[in-house]
Amino acid sequence: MDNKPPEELKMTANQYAIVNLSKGSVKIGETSASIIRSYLGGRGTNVYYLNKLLRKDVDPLSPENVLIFGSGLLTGFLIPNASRFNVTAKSPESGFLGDTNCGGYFAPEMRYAGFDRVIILGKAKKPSYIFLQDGSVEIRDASAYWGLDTYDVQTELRKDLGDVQAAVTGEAGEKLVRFANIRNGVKNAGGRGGLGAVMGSKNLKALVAYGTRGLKVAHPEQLLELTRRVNDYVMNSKVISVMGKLGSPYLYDVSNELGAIRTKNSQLNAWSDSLNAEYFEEYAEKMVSCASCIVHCRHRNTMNGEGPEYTTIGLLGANIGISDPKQVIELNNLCNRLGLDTASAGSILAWVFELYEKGIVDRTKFHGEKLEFENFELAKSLLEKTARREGLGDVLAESSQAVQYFGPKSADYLIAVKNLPQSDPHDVRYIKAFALGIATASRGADHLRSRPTLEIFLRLPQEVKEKIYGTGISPDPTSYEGKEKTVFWSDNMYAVIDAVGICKFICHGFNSPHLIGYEQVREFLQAAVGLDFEVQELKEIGQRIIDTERILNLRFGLTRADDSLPKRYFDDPAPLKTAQGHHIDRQQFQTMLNRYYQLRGWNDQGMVTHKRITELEAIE
Amino acid sequence: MKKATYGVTIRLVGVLKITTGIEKVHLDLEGNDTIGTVLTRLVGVHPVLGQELFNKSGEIHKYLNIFVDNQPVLQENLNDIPIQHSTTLTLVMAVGGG
Repeated sequence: MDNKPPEELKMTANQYAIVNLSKGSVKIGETSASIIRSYLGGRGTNVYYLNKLLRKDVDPLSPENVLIFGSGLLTGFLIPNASRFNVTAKSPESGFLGDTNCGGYFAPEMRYAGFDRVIILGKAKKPSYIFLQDGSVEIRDASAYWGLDTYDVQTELRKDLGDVQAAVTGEAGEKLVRFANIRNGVKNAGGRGGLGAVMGSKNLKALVAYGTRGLKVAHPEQLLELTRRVNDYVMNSKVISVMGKLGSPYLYDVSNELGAIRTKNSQLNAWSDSLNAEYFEEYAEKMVSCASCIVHCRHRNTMNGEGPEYTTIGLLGANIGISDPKQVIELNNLCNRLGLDTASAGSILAWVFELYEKGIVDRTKFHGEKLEFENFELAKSLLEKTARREGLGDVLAESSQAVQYFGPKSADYLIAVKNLPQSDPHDVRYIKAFALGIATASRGADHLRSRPTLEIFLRLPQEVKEKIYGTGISPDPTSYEGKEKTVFWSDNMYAVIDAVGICKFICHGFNSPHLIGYEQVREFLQAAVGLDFEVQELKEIGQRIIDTERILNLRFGLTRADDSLPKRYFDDPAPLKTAQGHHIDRQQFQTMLNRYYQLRGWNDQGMVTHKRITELEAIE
Repeated sequence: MKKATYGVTIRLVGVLKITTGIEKVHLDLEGNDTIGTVLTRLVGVHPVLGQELFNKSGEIHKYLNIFVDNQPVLQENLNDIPIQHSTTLTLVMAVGGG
């Protein structure tokens, strides 16, 4: 039997579609070789296009916003954990760069359908979805799916269209909740920055893919051998075997022991042991994974959902004063159904609970609600109201933009950077490098962009850290000395791993001092797509992505003052455990920030030089 | 006021507790005990901890975070750090991610 695909289904790559929903038009093109060599794909190529196509003064929820779905350059190949894509637009939550990374099965399907990237312009006149199938693109009526939650819409799409994959938004996205996310499968979320609301603003319910095309492998035997070797290497890692058994919840008591769990809006920094990983095990049905994943980090829970991850345990647990694992799972599943980002949800709830309890804001502003921590039913009710913009929920749906409603004093209590509520439950007052990481991350307070995780390895020999990050780094996590190097290195590494579409859980430096780094990425690029890079070139691509994101943020009005931290991290020492008494010193933070800017080649105001801007804008 | 206790209490947290099933161990102290010698004797009592705490060369894993009464131990050579009666030693496998 001839296994070759017919000519009309020939394998394609590098193809994009520009879909104008206002005009109902589709234009198909190919990303140039020079753009791929400069940005690879995924997050990198997305920000390249966004920077080219977006006007700076655009309202993020207007038809003029540009919404880009882009797969990693290695996504869809037989490469461990290469399942990921990025969605990029101007964020309605922060007003700065919105960029979110997601796993699951959607992005490989999008590539098999013939498209690496879909760039969405305008606004449809009625609810619509975009259907990608073997090189064709159609804008279709989504009236039958409008109003469905993120689980049900995917189920209905499969009933109607067969074995498709879809990136969807839920009720929260339709209602323009500023932290509405984009979802694929039960659990996978493009969670941050409210890009589900951008879909809603465009009357776009889903991007749906069905593909029978493959991806042409440059050197198949070499790729097979390399994949086997890297699989063995990754699976021999202690942290990976733990993650396959327990998922990310194992991180909770590591942070809690240190006194680094955001608790009750960071008024406290440690919480109940009842949220330790083992207490979630009784609700775990099995472990599941994304496409090509060898880790299997995610629980299918017994309450008709998946998760929660560590982030959600912290933010919908400790941060709002919930200590019952079952209740955390229920809130997790609810957010996932509604299409709410759990990180922002838990941060915003905790923020308003403190505003209310301390009387910082006049209580008439809370629509008759009596707010308090440690109240599961209240939290559940407020999440539902937020997704539907009912009562106080209409205010909470504004996320950090609700400072305008509550008044400027309320901003002092908001745990956010660049208007983005902090992504993870880690209180950064103890580990100074983590603080710089969330202060400078391009999309706002976020650990997935630049966290120098190895700082939590308190006894890692200095020579090991210096081999990775460079010399002159204090081994003390509470020191500011040299910590800008750890953030600079992590920024660049994670940008590259996002650009190729590999999961950060197996990325060098994120979970472990080992795992997949530049050398393995170089080998995979050569074997899979036949592109030869030097390791130094890959490092420069990481820097280029960060610089392009910075240029875009500067166009949105970002200044040095935005590379900062929540007031509480500076002014209120952590009260509990190892971190007790620690806070961020303003002067030392600013000095560390200066050094970070110098490493990046930015001026003392964090501006990218004209020469660099000109150089990057010349890429075509 | 802290209650005086003879010997050292060792707490295992997180992954270590889950994978070994051991949560808390009390050991008597011997003369000139250090963190290093206490951990060696701990493995003598609970051999399952051997590969969790020590690498193949017999050195204590670098990814093991150790806290003495909530204060982190940053030094590499644990045989240089004496340990006192009534101390609580907390052992946590350092793992990152999110």
